[in-house]
Amino acid sequence: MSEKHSPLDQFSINRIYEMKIGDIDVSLTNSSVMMIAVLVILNIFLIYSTRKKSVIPGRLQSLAEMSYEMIYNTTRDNLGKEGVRFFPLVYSLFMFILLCNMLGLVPYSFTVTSHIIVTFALAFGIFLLATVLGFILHGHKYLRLFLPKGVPIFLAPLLVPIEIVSYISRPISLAVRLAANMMAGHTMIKVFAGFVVALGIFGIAPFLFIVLLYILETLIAFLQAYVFAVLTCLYLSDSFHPEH
Amino acid sequence: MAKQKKINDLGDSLNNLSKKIDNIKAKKVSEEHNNKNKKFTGFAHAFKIVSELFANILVGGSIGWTLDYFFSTKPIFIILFLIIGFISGIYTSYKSSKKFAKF
Repeated sequence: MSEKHSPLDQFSINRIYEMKIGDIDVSLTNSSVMMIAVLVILNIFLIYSTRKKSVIPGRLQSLAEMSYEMIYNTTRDNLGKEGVRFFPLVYSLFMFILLCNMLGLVPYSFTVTSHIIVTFALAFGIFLLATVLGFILHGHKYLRLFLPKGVPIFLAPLLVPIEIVSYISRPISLAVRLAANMMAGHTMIKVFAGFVVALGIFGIAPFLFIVLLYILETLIAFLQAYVFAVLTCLYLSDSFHPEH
Repeated sequence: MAKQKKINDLGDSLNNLSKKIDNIKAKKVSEEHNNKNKKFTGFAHAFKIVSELFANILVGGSIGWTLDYFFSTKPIFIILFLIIGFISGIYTSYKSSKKFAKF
């Protein structure tokens, strides 16, 4: 088999239009084209579907309203009334990741979220926001997050490093979960697609399996976007109430 | 006088009724909400716990490696922080699974 048919080939980044600012490579790649496409589709979808503002929503409008309501309720339940001002952030993140995952499932397209650097950039942004917000709201008392109330002081040397490591690991676990799920799913589909060709007439079995796998992948694409949004809410809620 | 009392009673019972309706409504909404959340959480929680376990060990290891690199005390800190990372991985996943299921 040639290199072009490797299951990991779908994740390679190619420069489409080369650009440079100084020594920094800012070329337009297939990844950035996908991201732009996602944003354009997202904007067109949301503006087009809500243009009528009818009381009885049509199909598109109810799709937009459903996504809005779902994320709004999640945000309100996790962050409370004062946290609803972060709803636009959570909603944009959710829709961006959801559409990246979904468009990645289209054959010949590219999955932006399968690259850990993309998901880590998103997760690290949330991490920075949560940390800065915590210090703005609570000042130095935010550090109580690392030593919960009612813990005996002799446990502090053990517990504080553990809590710090677990705090720092938040963006990494957020990023790794999304990227690994996307990458594993797409690699698996490609591997089984290779079996279809190799097995000839018996290729019908892996072919049926791919159909099932695609359903599962669609579910995972939605689920991971939702989990990302929920965990964003949870981490932000820690900066609102660090004591528990 | 009697008429006034009757009206007051009526108002009270109306208030009671509206309170009852509100209670039932609130209960229904929260039940619906719980059911909605349950649909996703099982699958999502498994992913969450696994990635937390992994990320904590990774972070512990990299903190240890960095400290070793700067103080050139290989392999003391990397061992120490790998252990701390492992403990905190177990601790975090225990905490997040405690929220999910009652042991």
